[in-house]
Amino acid sequence: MDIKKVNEQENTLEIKNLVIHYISDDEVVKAVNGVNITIKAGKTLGLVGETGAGKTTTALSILNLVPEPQGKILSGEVLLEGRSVFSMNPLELEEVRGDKVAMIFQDPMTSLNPVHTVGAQIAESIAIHRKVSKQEALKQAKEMLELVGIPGERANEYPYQFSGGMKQRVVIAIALACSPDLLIADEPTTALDVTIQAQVLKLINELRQKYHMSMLMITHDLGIVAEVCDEVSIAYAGRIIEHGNLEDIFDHMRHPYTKGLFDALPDIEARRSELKPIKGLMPDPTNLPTGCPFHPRCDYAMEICSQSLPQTKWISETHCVECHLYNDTNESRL
Amino acid sequence: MFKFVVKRLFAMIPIILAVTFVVFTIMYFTPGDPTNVILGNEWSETASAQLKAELGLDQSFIMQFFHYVKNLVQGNFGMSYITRAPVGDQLLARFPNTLIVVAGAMVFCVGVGVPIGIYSGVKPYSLFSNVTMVAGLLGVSLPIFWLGLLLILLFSVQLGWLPSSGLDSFASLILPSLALGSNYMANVMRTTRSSMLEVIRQDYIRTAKAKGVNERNVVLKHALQNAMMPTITVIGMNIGALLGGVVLTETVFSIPGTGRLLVESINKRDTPTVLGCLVIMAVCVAISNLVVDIIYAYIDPRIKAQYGGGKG
Repeated sequence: MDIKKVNEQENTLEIKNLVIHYISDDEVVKAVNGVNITIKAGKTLGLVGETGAGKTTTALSILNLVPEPQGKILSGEVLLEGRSVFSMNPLELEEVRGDKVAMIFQDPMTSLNPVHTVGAQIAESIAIHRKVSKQEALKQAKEMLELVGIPGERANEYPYQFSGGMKQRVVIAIALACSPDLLIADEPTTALDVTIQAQVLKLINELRQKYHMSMLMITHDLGIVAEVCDEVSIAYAGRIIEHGNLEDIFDHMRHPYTKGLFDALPDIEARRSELKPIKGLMPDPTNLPTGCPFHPRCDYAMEICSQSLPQTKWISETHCVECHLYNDTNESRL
Repeated sequence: MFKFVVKRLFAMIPIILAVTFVVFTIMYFTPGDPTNVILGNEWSETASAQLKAELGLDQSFIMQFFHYVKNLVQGNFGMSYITRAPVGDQLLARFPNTLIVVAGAMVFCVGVGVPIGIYSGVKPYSLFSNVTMVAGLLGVSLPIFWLGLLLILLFSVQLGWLPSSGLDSFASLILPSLALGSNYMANVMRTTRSSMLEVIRQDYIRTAKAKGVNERNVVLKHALQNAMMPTITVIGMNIGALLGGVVLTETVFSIPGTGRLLVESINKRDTPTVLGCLVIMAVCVAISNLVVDIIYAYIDPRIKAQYGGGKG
């Protein structure tokens, strides 16, 4: 019992069986349908999936920022160092947000307040959580700016005076201002061009190591995962369908969807070869298929796949998969 | 910024000249002879011709307009045809009353409309929000003179709490402000609500929440400044409408202001007084537009940069 408790406390983040639906008058969007995620202290988890797989909603739930009133958390738990986020009162939530957990948002163009200086926007979170004076907070904000590679004097400028890449650096500076225990990076490079992407990723990675943060890296880019992450969860239609460390996923993938993701990558050695996209489209989250949500697109689909949802099957201590192919074996069937 | 203000002040000159020209032309071509009204029963061909020469009405249209503008530049609004007193003096005596009523209506408009708009924008699904939106719809739909009469009936006649006419105390300002401002208050409220609704869904609001900013500061420090732009625009546009509405309000509440003076002098074809009233109202509207533009710059740094760069 005691040992188990110690183990739990080592987990910076634990999401258990999370279900979130967006409910409006005429439809129910089933965004998250039973997600389980664990991130150990100091580790980085990559959450990979197509657009609409429920990645961002899962991330927002960690800060209890799922858009209300449509977004409904129907069941599940989010534990930050053992404390349940959903049972925190507003004051406790404000203490956690920005201090224990910080988030880098997807679109730097819209994530900054256009009418406040970037310095003020970074200083705000320092002033709230560090309880220092405004001048001191601004001074520290300038240091944060320098840390992300922007001259401190530019703290007095407004977001419109910054380029996209610099805005994303500011967003990163805001997130890191109070050196959080857990950093959520929601597709931090999607809105940036390729040359800037590499710089921003490198920056995030360096700072993460410097401050020993845990990180949830949300992305659909397997290249980023290979560079930054320790473990990977593959999300599909609001579920984690395969999870493992880098080796498990990159070299010993089990799920047909995971295989499809890798097959869809261009091969640098055979440039002439055609890309192999996964057939079909992501299912409509208002009308998910019965059974395994991937079965209509799956080359390996069996009769049972359309009838029942596969259970989580642990292949090894680090690797698990949700697929009927492995109901009676651990060997790869792909 | 200073350069911008100076530039805009100079730009007001052609605007006011244009207003003067349009009003002057309309008055000039309006059928009817002012000497008829002035002389009344003593009217005769010779007396009329003599009076026209005296007032300069026998000159050509262009010359008359030129003289008027020449006097106007020197601060001389001319003589009233009816009272034979300088129009400037009348305006000086009456315009402050109009300003007080308009200011009262503005305070009511902004002081009540903006906070309600903010609250119902932040909590769009609350009962409060629904009730205020219905009240807002009523506010937009009620005509000023009718609302004014109802207010007098209730608060002056039935309850006897507030005076029904005149403008000699703070209490006497309340009813005219309510009557004049309710339309625009509803406007301001609805605009504030809808722009607040829009802003509160923006990504940067989520960023602020993710930083741990409390609900109150999310609204007051992050959302409000962004949401105020459309509200300021509506308030600015309403100043012109308020100056129009003041004509009715002053009539209903018997307040000696420019609005009533305007109506009276139109009826009597007292061209100099009509022109005087309208020019001073045009100046007011032009100045308030300038003030709105300056406020924009303080709210949004992007606009300020535009002004400063001389591109605006």
